Amino acid sequence: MNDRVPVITGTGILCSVGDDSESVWQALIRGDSGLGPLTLFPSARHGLAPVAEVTADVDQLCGGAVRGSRSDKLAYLAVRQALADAGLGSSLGSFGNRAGLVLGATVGGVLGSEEFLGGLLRRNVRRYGKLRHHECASATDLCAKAFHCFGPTTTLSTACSGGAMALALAGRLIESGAADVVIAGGCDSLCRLTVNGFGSLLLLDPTGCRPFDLKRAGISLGEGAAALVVESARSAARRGVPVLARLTGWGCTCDAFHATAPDSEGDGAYRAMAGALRRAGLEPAAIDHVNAHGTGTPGNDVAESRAIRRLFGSTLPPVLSTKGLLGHTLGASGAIDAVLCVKSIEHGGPPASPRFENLDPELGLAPVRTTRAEPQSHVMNNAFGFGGNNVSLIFSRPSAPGPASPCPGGGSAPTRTARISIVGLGVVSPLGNAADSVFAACSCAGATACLREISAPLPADRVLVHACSDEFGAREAIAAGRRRKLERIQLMTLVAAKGSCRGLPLEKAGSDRICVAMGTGLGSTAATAAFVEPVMADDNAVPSPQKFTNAVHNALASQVAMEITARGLNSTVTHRETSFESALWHGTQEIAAGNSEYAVVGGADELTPYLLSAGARWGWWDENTPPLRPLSANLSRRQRAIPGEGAVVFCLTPGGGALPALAEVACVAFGRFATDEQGRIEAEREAGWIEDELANQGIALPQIDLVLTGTNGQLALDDKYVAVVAALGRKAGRSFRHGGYKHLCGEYHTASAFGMAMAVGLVSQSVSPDALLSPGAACRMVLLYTLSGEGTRAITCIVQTGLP
Amino acid sequence: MSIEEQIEDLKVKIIAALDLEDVTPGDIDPDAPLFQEGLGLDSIDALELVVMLEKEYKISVKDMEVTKKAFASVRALALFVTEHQHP
Repeated sequence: MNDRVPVITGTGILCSVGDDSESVWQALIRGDSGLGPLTLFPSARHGLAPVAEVTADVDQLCGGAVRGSRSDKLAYLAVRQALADAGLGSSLGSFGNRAGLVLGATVGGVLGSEEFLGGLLRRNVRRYGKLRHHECASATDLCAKAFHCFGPTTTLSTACSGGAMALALAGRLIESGAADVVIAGGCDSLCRLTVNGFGSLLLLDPTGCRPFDLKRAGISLGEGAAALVVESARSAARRGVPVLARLTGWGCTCDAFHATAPDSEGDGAYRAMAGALRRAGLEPAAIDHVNAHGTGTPGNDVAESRAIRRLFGSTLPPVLSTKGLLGHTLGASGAIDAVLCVKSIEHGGPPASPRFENLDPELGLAPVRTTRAEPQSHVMNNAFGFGGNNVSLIFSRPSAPGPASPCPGGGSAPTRTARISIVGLGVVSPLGNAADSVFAACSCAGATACLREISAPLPADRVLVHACSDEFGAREAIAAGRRRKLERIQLMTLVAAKGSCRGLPLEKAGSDRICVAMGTGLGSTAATAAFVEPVMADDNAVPSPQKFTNAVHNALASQVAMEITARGLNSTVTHRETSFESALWHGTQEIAAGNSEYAVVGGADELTPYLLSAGARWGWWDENTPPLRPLSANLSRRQRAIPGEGAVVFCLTPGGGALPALAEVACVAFGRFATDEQGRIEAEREAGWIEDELANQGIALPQIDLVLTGTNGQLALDDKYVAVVAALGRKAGRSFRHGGYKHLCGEYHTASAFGMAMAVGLVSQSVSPDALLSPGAACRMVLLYTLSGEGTRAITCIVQTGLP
Repeated sequence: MSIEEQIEDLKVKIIAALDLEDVTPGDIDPDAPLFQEGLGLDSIDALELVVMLEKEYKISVKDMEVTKKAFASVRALALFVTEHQHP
């Protein structure tokens, strides 16, 4: 077996019908339903629709030692189980930087955020602690810390396909050589946002979900988590552990059709399945069963059955959906079904599809009625999300004959990736909305026009912010019919995305050869708050369905896909300050793998009232900001940051093409940093990691002219950056110039996208380097280095076009 | 309220519910299709109108099949509201 074939060596599930993978599989075989009454919180409006709640005592299972949201704890339990199953014990520490973790999540800690809003609106109490675990990244960071994972760590938020896309990303991380082992999975707890949200879309079946049934009337919501240990064949062989299955195929596509509804023709679903088959080198007839997305909504089941019939023709493989039993566990569902696919390879299958009775002639597809125990060689798993974010995976029996793996390479170092050209840049920033105006502002030391004083709505204090002008070009760029429906952050992103593609011949590539990957730390908290506030004030309220669809994080990337007609991979990454870099990695890998001709990649976050208030409460923001700070390392010993916002999007193509490039991306890498016992960053180890990652891409550390970091005035953070840049200097034998960008754009999760725009300006000579480097010195190669407060880090290396 | 009055009342409420900037009640033809052509509304707008019916008229819609006829035009919606509104 090729060294870098991704294989599965361990699985874990926690959901309504069981608290380990084996018991969930047995429940599926027996047909035990997980559907029952909602007890987690009251819901006057939707409390009668059955849900698949986790009834086990989650805290007790965790041993009481885990601090986090319900969703975080579900993830922790699934990951712990998968590691034990794979014979990895409870630590990945021995893998160092070679062990990654990728989770898909939709709601994160919104259950806690709802309680915060409830306290505020009903009793005027402000329990800010309830917001601590709001972010989807919270589950990933919790697990990465608990199990000592220092390799590529990130969180995907592609709604209902998140768990499956995490597996696709894990496969790519293994195949590209970026990691030897990646824990991949998904998690989501029930919460009022999704219960009322799907309720407002009239998509909750009052009698319980009936996938593919003529009388189907929507989903039943569920909750849970699942994780799989994805490992290179070489690593599994070295450890001498049994291989449960191979992850042979994955295909990721986008409908670019509608915010929530699938394209009824099922073209995106078809292309995802066909892509997975192509990657696995298999014909449709090789598939032994399809574990369908099968949500039981009228729309999904029509689109999916059309796609299945188109792909498989007249001899359909057995099809099943687990959602009649487990409910729709959203971000977890793709990962739970992936584990069940692996179980079917282990035990034989397929199991019967729960709660199917009446054939729907429009679907022309009857799911499996009786459980079988036939050997399964190749099994397909579908997961489709809001915004037409489609993922299809193929798992294969370890011994199953199949064509040679398409994975190139071997050994344990990452494959050198060809340079990627940056051919377009779109910006919405506090400094302006045209790339040239931003470059001009970056060149002068005193860019302060963007500073504004606004009121944080909850505490009485006022906060100084870097805010974008309200006139950022949405009226000109976006049609009124779409504009009226979207949130400010989505409009900022669309304006920047259109800016990045302006004048480029994208249509010549074909829409399925354009992928979109967007990073966002917080997504649209404004939409989440607007939807949840009325529910928390009045349990019987009727909140806006439009706000619900806007609250889903992947509205960002999927709206971009609709605006520019991009039907390739569509990924939204929500992993704090390294969200943008993970998205950039995802986009550049789609190009490197030959799946896309263009990758539209960016980062966006906005200032919102609750963020300002919580940040003020937690002491993040500076009350006495000196208005002027130099562009060069702004290490003026301050304590706090200035909040900011923006959307910056790049259009990327393979390097060396015909289009003129602004600059090239030479290296992107992400992971987690190590700290010593005092919590200080292990700077020498960090510098070693950076040097190695650059060397893997053929760059020697001394070639770097400038290091740009996310210094923001918070001493604890800035000291880490200073220590690592100093350590880099010791490795290179000379000290590096160190600059920042957050004094220009403010502190926000995806500000490093703005930093990358500045780097592009510097190497393309659109930004004068005089304020940063010695007068007359050239700036051909910029290293961006980003840290998050919760332990993740990333580097990006931007080089002058054509530089060897 | 007469049907004509109901139509005018609905136009104002539709504009508010869907944030139809640049659209005035006079722009809406009461007999034109509400969806696809005309105002260019989509399925989520239809759900927003379901919310509007509940909030403004206390009419609860549980199944979008019902709305196929009711949302054909503003006049059809006015008739639907008149029929279903509790006194």
